[in-house]
Amino acid sequence: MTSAASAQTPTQPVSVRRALPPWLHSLRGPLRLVVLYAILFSLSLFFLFPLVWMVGTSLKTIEEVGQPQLSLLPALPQWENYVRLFNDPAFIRSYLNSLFVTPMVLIGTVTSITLVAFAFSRLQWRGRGIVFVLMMGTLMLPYQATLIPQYVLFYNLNWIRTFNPITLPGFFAGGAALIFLLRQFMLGIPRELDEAAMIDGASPLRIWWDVILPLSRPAIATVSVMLAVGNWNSLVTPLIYLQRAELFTLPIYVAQRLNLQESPIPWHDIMAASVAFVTPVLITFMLTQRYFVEGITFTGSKEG
Amino acid sequence: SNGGFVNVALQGLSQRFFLFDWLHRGFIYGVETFNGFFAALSQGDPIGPLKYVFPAALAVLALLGLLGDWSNGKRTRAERAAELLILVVIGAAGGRGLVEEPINPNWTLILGIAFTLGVWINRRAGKKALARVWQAAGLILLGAGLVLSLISAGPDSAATLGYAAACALAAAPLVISLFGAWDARKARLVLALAVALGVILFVRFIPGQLDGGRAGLVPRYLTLQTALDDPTSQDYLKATYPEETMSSLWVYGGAAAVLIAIVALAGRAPRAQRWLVVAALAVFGLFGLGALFDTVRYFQAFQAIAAQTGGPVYHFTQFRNSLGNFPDSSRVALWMTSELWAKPSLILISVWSSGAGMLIFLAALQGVPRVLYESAEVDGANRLQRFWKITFPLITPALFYNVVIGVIAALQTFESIYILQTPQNQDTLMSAAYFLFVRTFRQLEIGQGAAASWILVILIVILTTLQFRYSNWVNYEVQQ
Repeated sequence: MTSAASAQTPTQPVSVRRALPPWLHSLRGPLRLVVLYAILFSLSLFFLFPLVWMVGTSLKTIEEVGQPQLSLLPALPQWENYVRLFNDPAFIRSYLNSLFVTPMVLIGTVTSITLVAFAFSRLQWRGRGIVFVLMMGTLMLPYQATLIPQYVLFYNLNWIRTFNPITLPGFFAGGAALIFLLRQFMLGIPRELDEAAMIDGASPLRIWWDVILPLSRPAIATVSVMLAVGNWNSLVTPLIYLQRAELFTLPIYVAQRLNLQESPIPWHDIMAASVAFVTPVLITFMLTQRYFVEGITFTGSKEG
Repeated sequence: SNGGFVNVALQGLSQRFFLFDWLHRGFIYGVETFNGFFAALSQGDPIGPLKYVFPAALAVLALLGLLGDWSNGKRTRAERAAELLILVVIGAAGGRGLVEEPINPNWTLILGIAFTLGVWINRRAGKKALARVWQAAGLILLGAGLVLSLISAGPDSAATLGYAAACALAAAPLVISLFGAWDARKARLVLALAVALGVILFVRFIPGQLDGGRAGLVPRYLTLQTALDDPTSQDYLKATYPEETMSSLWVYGGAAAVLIAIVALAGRAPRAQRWLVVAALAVFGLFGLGALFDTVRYFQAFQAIAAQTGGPVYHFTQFRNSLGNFPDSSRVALWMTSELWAKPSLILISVWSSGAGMLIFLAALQGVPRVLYESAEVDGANRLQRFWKITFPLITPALFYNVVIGVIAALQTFESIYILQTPQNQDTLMSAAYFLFVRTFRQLEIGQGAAASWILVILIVILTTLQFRYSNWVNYEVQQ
């Protein structure tokens, strides 16, 4: 049961070169890299544009933001926008709140949903199909329709004005979309592996821990990133349940800075807060990137 | 006035980089073409003969796959295509039957035939559970229609009696299929009842649907006699494309019927079956081609009339215009300020935030064993073959996930609409989720909001069920 990674490593550079179109292949050395990067960069411009715009605006003065002729980058970078931001106690407070809430959600949800997805993809039990349909059903109800019943539920649990409505549901496998995604991944792991483990006397929980979890590590990384980013960015749920300034998370802080009655709208401050808001996500993604490039068993083939 | 700072920035970039300028123009061109087409469809513009082109093309595609020697794969494909076409008819007929006032019994008969055929196909294929679903769905829908018509018309009106009779007739084959063992005799009986319903429908319905020149287009399209005279004359439309034409559902239903006949003939008369495929291919091909030719003439005539009379410029004319004029650099995108641009802008925002889907595809692509590519290369497979035979099948689980979740998320689009709506573009951007939010929380029509959310849920359930039902293209294990 050697994972595919060890088998691929020697052949990887060869395959990458073969993936290039022939006309590019005929170019040599640095020139090829330049052409390749020019193409990739122009394609990524479409997606990078908002990011560059955000960073550029965060370094402008309010006059420069409002002037009619537009520039992507500031004439003179205004670093005091950031100094002002980090001297705001409400910002620091909301940053720390976000840094507490997101890992909590991540730990609880990842533990529970890997178990649930394991049960949906690897175990045979009565009623599995029905329960799966019910779980998919929770995806289908629009959020706006469940808003009030959910609020009533959490109200009766005395959870309003605490972090509980955001952090605790994750521990009970809240997040049907992610379970569905993990199930799709886990269905691809060859069945012989569990069977072999079962013959050796392993319990389902042991198979989950020793066989399925290691093999679906990159899938779990994907799910974790989606979960963490989604939670880090989520505005509506915290806005509804937190209700107390000292519990506010970052998205609420940014949303509060955007007061449309104010004139001029302090776009430079808002964008500076947004940059600070996005940075941890980008850093985390860059640090964990290797998990995505490692390769995973989405579709089972052990002959590699 | 023209979309604000983003346009200014785009124009600035266009002036500096020629490549960006071309991208910018191409983008505006693409969006305006899309606009014209989508606005025409969504705002109920007369689309003329175009409505026949689509089902005819579908039929031709399905029939092309059946050419040559008969096999089990072809049989399942034909059955599935017929089932989908029947679903289209049911959806359209059910939708129309529900809004029509008073409820028209003919639509009930159509539903009865469609559901009976659904049961028959699935029983034939040995899918008992699915046949049960068809039976239950048909009976529930017919019962709901009966209750609705009783409520709306009162018990002793003649219309209700007629409707009740139609319901009983339509439900008869379904009820018969419900009880007892399913054998060849019963299959024949159920099919015969469906045919009988068809005859009743023909006698009752056709005089209203195909007479008065409504079906007069059919022989003309089959012989490709479309463009009669000068398409710029004002009388052209009335002369060649009458206001009252037959519904395109006839073409969908006809294609489904032909496919079912082909499946039924398979074991018994292979010669007749082969001829039927070829003949149907010729008929649907000619019909679709004729309709396509006429569509072009139809839009030309519309444009000419708009030019002559200064009358309403139909959006399909805009569509044609945008096809003809590659935009110059002074044209700008109108974004959220225009009713037409709002939807493409919303789509663009969704494209922009599609990173999660990409991440999943990345994970799936990384999981494709490179050994497979190498052995394929040794076997002499080219790049395209390697993609379609190796990469694509192995990332289908991820594709399936993205499609299912994407459809659900798209139907529940809310936040971007909530943020970007203005009185100008509110109607264009209205989504089901935003509608239920407005009704529930703004206008406090909580009951209506709840009803809207149920309708949305039912729609999503149907779409998701269909996706899971037709998901055997998803590969979870490598076939050795």
